[in-house]
Amino acid sequence: MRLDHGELRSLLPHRYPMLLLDRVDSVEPGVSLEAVKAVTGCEPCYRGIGEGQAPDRYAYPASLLIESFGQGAAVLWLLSRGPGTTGLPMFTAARDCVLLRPVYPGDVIRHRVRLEQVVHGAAFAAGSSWVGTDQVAEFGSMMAVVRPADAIAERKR
Amino acid sequence: MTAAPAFSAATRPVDTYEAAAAPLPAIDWVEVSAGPRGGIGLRAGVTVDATDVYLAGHFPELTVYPGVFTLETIGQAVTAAVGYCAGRLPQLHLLRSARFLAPLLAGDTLTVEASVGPVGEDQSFDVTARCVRDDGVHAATVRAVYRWPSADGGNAR
Amino acid sequence: MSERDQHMAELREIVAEVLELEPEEVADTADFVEEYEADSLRAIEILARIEKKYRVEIPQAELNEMRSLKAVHEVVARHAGWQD
Repeated sequence: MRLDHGELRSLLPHRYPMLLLDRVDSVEPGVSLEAVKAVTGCEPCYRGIGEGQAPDRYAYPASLLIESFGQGAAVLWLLSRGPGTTGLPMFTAARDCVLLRPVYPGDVIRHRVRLEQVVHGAAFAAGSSWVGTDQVAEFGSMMAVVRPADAIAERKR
Repeated sequence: MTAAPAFSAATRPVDTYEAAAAPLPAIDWVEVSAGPRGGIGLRAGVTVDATDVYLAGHFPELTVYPGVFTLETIGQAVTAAVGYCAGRLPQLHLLRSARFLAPLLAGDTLTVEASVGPVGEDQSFDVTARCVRDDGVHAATVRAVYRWPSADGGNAR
Repeated sequence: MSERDQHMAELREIVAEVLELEPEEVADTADFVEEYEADSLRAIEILARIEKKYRVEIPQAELNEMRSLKAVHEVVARHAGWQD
């Protein structure tokens, strides 16, 4: 099964410029998925960089790489939950994630995501990210839950 | 054998944002103090701005400061506090553990308190951060290893 | 080491890792919430690791009971069929 960008938009509540996946090339719902994220110099994370910075300063931010992988995990999980899922996926914990080399504009990242466990409404995913044959990151464990937006917005002050 | 680099003086938050690709200016202020064994202590804060371009997409129905942006705040605070080594900025290398315990919404202020270092001979250092929301709620705990990458940009294992 | 001691040692290690403590800091009867600032997500993380390690399924209703190492052991023993 393959998911184009429009299908990702209907699955994920994230929107530009925070929707950090372009396509899902293959997925076995509830088991594993391979997703693609192309990095371009047009992304707003490059808008504030000062003139004349060294080439290494254009490395794609680690925060966005981790988010992109996490969205792959969210897609994998949401597909296995089936229709009727409402709420926002919240990243609640991560463990043992290693960033191995930087990613630059022009690189195409492939996330290989495995859904390890779903326990009482919480999903645990693991996997790796690649640019060509180079591994750029390893994700030991990422945990997420889905919460209704009104439950997130409402809190004691 | 070269001596481990020592931490240098802090830069301003705006310089940190302009120095490298980043989704947003993730610190409003940062303070640095001496820590044990040549390490440092740092405090930093940011207020969640719903008009930020990335936050507009996370999510359109409700602004939630994503967990990965808490990592971005910690990363920029570390960068501002420890500065450059041979012209390079420190990079997140290993995320041992991150826990996001409470959501941060538009207008909320995040305060980070972290212990940083000392620096090892491989130019890496530990960061342990505790993050608090302005109502006193414990929002996140992060344990990570940062390092100044080698000249080829890689992080050889 | 008796089977019970072995299981307690394994569970103590899981709990300590999730709560980011040293194993010796996890007392048998200390309440996770009151003593270690655990929340419901930490409890689920502990449960997830236990389910994976011992290949058992623990009903959600039992989650509220699992508030100390000793209580965790009792719940897991019941569902994993341990004779501890």
